[in-house]
Order: sequence, then structure tokens, then C-alpha cells
Amino acid sequence: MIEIASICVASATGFVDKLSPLSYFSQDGYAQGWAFITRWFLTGLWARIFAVLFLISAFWQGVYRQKIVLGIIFFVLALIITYTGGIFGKMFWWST
Amino acid sequence: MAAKGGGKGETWIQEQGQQHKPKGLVAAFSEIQNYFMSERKGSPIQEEFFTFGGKIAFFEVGFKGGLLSALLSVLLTPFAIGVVEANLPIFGTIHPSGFDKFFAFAIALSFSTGYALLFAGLGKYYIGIITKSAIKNLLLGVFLAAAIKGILAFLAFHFIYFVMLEPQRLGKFLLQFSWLVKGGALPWVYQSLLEFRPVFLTSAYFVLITSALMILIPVAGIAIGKRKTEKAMAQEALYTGSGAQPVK
Repeated sequence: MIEIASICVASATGFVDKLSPLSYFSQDGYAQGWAFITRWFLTGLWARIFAVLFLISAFWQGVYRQKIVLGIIFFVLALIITYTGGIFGKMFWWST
Repeated sequence: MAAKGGGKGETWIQEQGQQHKPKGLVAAFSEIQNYFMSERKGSPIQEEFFTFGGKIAFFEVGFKGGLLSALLSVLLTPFAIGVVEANLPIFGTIHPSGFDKFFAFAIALSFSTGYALLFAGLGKYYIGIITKSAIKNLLLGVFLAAAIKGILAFLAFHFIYFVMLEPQRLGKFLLQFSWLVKGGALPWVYQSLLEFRPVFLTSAYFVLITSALMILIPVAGIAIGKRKTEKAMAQEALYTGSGAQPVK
């Protein structure tokens, strides 16, 4: 019984270890990866293009096609791209 | 007695004594479309069909939706003004371009505007006693929510500026956290909040504009939509020679 319990605990610990990104990357590499994604999606030209497209889609779906939930989803996406670049930038650019 | 309506072979029958209480915006719009279909085909529904409970239900739906939209626009307004005043970052930069400033305003206004445009689209159904009454009650809720939002947000932003962020009071409040935060973080927070302070006064007036838009857009949309529908129905009656006349 104790053996089974210890095997379960060991396999659970192994699973949790596998979930940690630091099992696969160094801390710097991990932060740089996120910094790259953040820079690409949340700042600069691409962020502006995505934000405009999402806002237009929000109006198209929410108002024109009257799919209100879809409109709200697109609006939230536009909002995230517009304002989270600064927050994520500070989190990841400071750490790298 | 039953009211009958529908298009393309579908029939809509509603018992006159039945209560009509839409639970959400989509249900309210569907109900209005049903009333419209019936009244457009010249099947008048008696005024008593639309009970007091039904009117209140439409008002509630409009009011709740209006409050949600109002809350979002009140929260987003200081962000937009903060971007324009270069106090907050947008797209990861604290130095916004002309486009960035425009987009910050567009985002702040878009939810209220989109919501108002959704109601403005009801203009094409604005005929007949029951349909008109349903739309009026729905819009009354939206307008009341917009007015309450305008007044409360105006007062709240002034309260934040004059009371909460008053330099001495703010300093005393932040000093309570001196045991928690080390180094120059507290003076930095104090300075940042003082720089952000005027944003709330500008936001108070901006919110009044968004409240006015929440009222003006549906009113204009309904005036335009109503005229178009009436014209289309008059032409339809002229060319088809149908005897069915809509209830105006």
C-alpha cells in the first residue's frame, strides 16, 4: 500500500516537473522567448494591424451581423493587444 | 384571440394573455422582430396585448445592457486620456503617435458606439403600436443607464481628483505602505499618481460626451430607419396592390 502511494506521489511529482518550462529552457531563454512573442504581437506595426482588424471585426460581427458574443470577444482581443504591450514589456524586457 | 404573423411560410402565433418578458438583449430583439412581422403584414395587435410587465421587462433589458456598456466605457476613458497625455503606454510605447492617440479614443468609444448602433438598427422595425412600444421601453432603459452613467462617472472622477488624489492625503495614504515597499518605489508611485491626476478631470467631461452619444445615435438611427421602412412599405403597397396596410 505504501509502495503504491509512493509510486503515485513520484509520478505526480514527475508530471509537475514536466509542466515547468524551466525543465526545457534556461530562465533567460524562456524570458527571451516571451519577450520575442510580446514584441511581435503586442508592440509595433503588427500589434497596430491586429488591433485595427480585431476592432473592425468586433463592429462587423457585433453590430452588422448581430452576433453579440463574437463582437465582444473581438473587442476584448483588440483591448488586450492595445494595452497589454506595456505591461508584458516591463515584465519580460526588464528580466532579460 | 391570437396574433398571427411570419414570413416565408413560418407562422408565429401568440396568445393574447401570454406574458412577454425577454430575458436578454437577443430575446428582446427577437420579440421586437416578431411584433414587427405581425404588424407589417397588416395584422394589428391590440394595445393591451403588451402588458405592463412586458414593458418593464423590455425596460430592464435595456437598462442592464446600458449599465454594462457604461461601466466599460467609464473604465476605458482614463486609459485613453492617459495615453494622449503620455502617462500610459499603448502598443508598448509611452510616446504615442497620432494613430495611437486616435486608436485609444476609438477603443474607449467603440463599445458604447457599437452598442448604440445595435439599438439604432431597430429603427427599421419602428412601426405599429406594439413594436413601437417595445422599442420605446427598451430604449428608455438604455437612455436612463446612459444618463446615470454620465452623472455618476462625472461625480466619481471629480471625487478621485479632488479627494482621493489630493497630494497631502495621497502622501499620508502611501506612507502607510512604507514598511512594505523599499527604495525609491514609493516616491515614484506618488509622482506617477500625481502626474496621472489631471487625467480624471478630462475623463469626467469625456464621459459626458459618450453618454450623449449613447442617446443620440439610437435616436438618429431610429428616425432614419423608420423613414426608410415606411417608404419601402408604401412602394410595396403601390406596386403589389396589396390591401394589407401596416399599422402606423
